[in-house]
Amino acid sequence: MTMRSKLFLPNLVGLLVLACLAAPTCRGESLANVLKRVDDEDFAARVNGNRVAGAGTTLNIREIVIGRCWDYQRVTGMNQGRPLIEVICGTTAWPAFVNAFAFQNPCNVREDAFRSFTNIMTVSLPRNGTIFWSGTKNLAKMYSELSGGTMFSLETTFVGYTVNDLTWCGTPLGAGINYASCPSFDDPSCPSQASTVFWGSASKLFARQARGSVSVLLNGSDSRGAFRNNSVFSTVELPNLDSSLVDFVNIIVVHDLDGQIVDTCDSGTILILKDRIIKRGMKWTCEDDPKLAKLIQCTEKPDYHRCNLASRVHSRSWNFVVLTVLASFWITGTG
Amino acid sequence: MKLLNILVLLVLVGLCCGQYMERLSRRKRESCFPESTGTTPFIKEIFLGRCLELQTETAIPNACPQSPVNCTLLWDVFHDAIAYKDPCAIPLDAYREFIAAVPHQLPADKSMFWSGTSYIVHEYTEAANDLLTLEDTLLGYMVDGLQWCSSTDASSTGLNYQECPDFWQEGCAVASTAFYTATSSAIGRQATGVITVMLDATRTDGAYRNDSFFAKYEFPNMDPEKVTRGDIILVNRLGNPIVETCGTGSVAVLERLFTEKGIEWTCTDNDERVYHVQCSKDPTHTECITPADVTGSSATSRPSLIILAMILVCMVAELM
Repeated sequence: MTMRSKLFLPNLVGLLVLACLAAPTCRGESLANVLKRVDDEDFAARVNGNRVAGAGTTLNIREIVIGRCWDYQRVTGMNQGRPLIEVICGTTAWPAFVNAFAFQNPCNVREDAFRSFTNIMTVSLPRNGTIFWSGTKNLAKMYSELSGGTMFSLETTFVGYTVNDLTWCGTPLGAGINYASCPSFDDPSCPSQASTVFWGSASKLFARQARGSVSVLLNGSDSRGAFRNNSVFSTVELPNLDSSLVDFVNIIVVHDLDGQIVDTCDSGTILILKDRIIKRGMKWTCEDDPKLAKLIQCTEKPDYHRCNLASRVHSRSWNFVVLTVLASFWITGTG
Repeated sequence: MKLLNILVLLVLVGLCCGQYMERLSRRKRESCFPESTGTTPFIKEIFLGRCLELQTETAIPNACPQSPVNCTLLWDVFHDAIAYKDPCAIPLDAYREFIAAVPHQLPADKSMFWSGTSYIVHEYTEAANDLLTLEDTLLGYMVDGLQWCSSTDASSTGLNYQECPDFWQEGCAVASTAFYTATSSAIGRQATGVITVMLDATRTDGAYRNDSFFAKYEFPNMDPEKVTRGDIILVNRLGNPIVETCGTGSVAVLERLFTEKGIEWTCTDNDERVYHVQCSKDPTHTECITPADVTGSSATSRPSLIILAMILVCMVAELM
């Protein structure tokens, strides 16, 4: 009898997990609950990599958000990422954003607080144009920028660009926005913060929008593993892909130039990811360190010994010099 | 025999040209139809947003001005410099007050000047995360990529959102010429320590051109008492023939000018980062072979090796 229950219980759990993974969203589980599983570090990297601990709302956030919103639509945004109908930044976008958290308890933001803002700012993206990332924020941004407007990471979409790297939180008192200090991500007494709720719901929408094949850039040098259970990609983005519209997940595993090799396409946590993709009814491809990723890494560390390109080009010029000399000898010799 | 030689030569030239044409066709085309020719709509909001953002910790490192700048006031000064004036008669000193209102002081050893290399210099400085171009400072950041011009219409805001004169229009002194003249002179004056300048060595009209903003306003305004060294970085555009190298042509002219001014200089024409930034944009280009790609014979050297072999065979045949 004891044997039977022991066998039965894990199976039931396994089935539940499977059913959960198979559904576009884990039914019965709120975004707030999903977000609780996300690693604090992962959120910190996503929300604001270089934020000073305990810093308050970014000063002049209103002017910065409105400025970026126009900048994206008029100057810096990639064509396919701009909204078809112009969003009026000062009277539409900003109020929707600020009303989501101002004059509220900073630790108790409703999970649908940013619904109006994300609805206004969401632009339908090109097919095959979605890039997810985990531990590779800058690389994903570069991939997107170098794609010539055909691929987007969340941070290069209209909604992501407008608030990326900013800090914000509300307070029930005074002006409604706390410019002095915002709660830190690892504060257990502060479970539902404005920026985590925003990035959680924006990531969810971003994943639901994806069509065709999607790419995910993972860090194969991360000692915790390239694909982690508690990453935003694993908990929010992957489960929200619509497997009837997404056929391929292209996994790109990138290793730091002088970093250790923890996971590759054929080892470690990538195997778990492949398994989850197949269980969701999609196909995968996987590539370790594609050339573009190496080139981008080398722009940041050009002196690294494996980034040697210029001397190679030089040897080409040397070839040409020899050629010219020989050719001139030949012509004068035969004349 | 001589006819045969010429024929072989023609075939060789054809081979080389074919390769060159292939490279040319790879180059992407920029937009054919600019969206609008007037002042960028919502220029004020964009200006304010960028101005405030540059003064927060999240924008460009090292780019903070020495003291806080009131961005609303700065916009007024920028706007009033040309508002309601004839858009084709903007005096070169129109932005004097704007320059005076920006207390920006570039940190020592951080100035990056450039001429003809806008397609690479900003990605370069972003990757290097160390050097600042004019467009990374409070002088140039707010209006980078924007278009603006004045309107003489008294009922307007002073700016023309419908139509702006062309930058190169003859007999027309446009606002951006005055703006970049003033800001270039200012960053030239402000430069201290080691400065860097990035020039295009594949231009047929010379890397260092007398009529460039760098030659006219930035270099002449550098103070040899404050600038200790000038590092010249030459860019070889992928697929373009190299016209000049360090010590030749107009680069030699610039080197001499540095010496005459009493400023030490260095020059490099094979900067690694220059290649990687360009190759990131065009990873399949034949010049972008990373060491991992070259096991055995490399794709770039193969055609020239074949040509080399052909010439050698011809020479041997000639001798026999």
